[in-house]
Amino acid sequence: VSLHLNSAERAYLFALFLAVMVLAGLHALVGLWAPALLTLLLGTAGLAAHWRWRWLSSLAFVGLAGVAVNGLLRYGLPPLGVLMAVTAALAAWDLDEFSLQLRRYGDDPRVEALWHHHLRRVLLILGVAVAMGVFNLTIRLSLGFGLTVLLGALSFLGLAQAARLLRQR
Amino acid sequence: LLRWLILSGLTYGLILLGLGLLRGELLVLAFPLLLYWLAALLFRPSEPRLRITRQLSASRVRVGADVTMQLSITNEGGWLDQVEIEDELPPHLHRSEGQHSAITALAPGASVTLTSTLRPLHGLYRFGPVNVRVSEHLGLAAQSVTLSASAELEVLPQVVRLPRIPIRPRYAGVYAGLIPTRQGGEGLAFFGVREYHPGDSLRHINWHASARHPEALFSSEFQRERATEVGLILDVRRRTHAFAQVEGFFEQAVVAVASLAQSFLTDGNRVGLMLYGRRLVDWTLPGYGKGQHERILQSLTRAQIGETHAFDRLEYLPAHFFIPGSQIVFVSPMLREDLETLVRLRARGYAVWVISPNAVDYEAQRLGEQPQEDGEAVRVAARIARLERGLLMRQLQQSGVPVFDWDMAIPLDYGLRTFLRGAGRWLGAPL
Repeated sequence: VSLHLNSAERAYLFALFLAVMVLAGLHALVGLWAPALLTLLLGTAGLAAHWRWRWLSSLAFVGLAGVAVNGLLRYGLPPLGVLMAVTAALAAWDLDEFSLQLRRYGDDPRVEALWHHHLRRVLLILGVAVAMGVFNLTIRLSLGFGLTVLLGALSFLGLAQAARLLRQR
Repeated sequence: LLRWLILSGLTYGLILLGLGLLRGELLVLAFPLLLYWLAALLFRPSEPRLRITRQLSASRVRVGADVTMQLSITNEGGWLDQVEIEDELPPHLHRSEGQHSAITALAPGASVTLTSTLRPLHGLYRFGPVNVRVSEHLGLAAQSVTLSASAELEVLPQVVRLPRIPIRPRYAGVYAGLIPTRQGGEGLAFFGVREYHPGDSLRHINWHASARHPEALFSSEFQRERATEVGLILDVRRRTHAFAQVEGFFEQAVVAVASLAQSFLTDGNRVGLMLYGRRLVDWTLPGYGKGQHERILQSLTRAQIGETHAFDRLEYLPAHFFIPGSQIVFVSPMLREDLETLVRLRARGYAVWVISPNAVDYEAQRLGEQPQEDGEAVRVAARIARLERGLLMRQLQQSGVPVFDWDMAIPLDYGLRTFLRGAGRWLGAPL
């Protein structure tokens, strides 16, 4: 276990901390201690994954997303807070993988440039996603059943097509 | 693939759940995942077109020399966000400094160069392909390609200048050399007196003998000096090298054989080399001169420890490869069971000389440097092994086989000089 952290690892820890604190905090505020504790456990699993058990990384990410969805559906947690938590969890999941990748290449000067590129891209994507989310949370649209099914089918097909293309590459 | 599956599963799940439950917040939660995924799709790398070159500062060097290796990869296609390069070295080859892997972005036409310095042990090293992984920044859409960048590096063993080794086998060749024979003729040492033959040089007429016998003239004869044949045997059996960190140890044995070959060839002898114990027959036919030394060095370059059932015991040594009565030099850490074969060779008329690198001291010293919980056990084991080895060496000596018990902490040339002044004095005694 090395405690010397590179920039990407510091960013990863910050993102994980943010995700766990927001999600656990949202649950704790309404007195839901069990999901808050579970969130902390998942955060610890995420940390452990970075230094030892790699398979825990994705489990922690999926777990945090699951807790967020559960909180939203069952306990009516504020959607903006949950969105922030999921976005931070996604950032942590991404930076966990990337920082370990960079660690393998040590002090290569090219690593720093690559890290800046990566950070810019992730921040841009997640920033746009949060902005879109906030915008969408402020508007209300009423959809009929037919339109909902059509949108569902379209999104399903769209994602399937995208997945096919990605796998072909 | 796992990351891709997890991300797509979560995204699908959130969208379907949101639509199914008519909960817009769930669709909002899917936004970051969806955008992340779409970004990976949008920036996915085009088909990589990479050109690779591997350059070595030398393709043939001696052990101890530094070799600089440059591996250049040029992007002849479109922009590549993230290129990971992993160059695997041939087995047993290690970098002393430099890079063997890199991660970088490559613009069209740009290139990346990895420079490293190698300081290899003897051997023939074949560099293989290089693994390159190309992906976008998020690492979801990745492609792996293998680029061929073959090269060969031949590392010849070091050769140490040794003192002249006064061998005296029974067999003498036809060419002049430095081995005194039991025949009169041209030479330096006085051999005897015979009746003058027409054609004898006036300088060789023995005037003292002729004066005592006025009825005839007598000529002096000198001891004829001839070259002989030397068969070098390097023991490469895994069984005799069954201890840790054997690389440096074996390297020293190879240096010893290369140096002995040079010494014997310089004296005008015919020298052959057998690597015993790895392949069926690894035999460099005997020959003379610098060309033969080159052949022996090339053979030693390929020398590796190995095993074959056919030659795992010394008793299977194909002695008929060596001319009867010639000199055999066996370089081996030695096993107890080898004694009988060496004594038998000696009995068949071969002049056998054993150079035995001391594996017991080498291993004991190595273990002694490490903090051991069972230090006392190591000391006792080393003591027993030393006693056994000492007994084996003594038995060989008593059987008429000279043994140079080489403590590898001492340089070969110095150790050999000391040996030739002491126990090895009778190496040059006639059989």
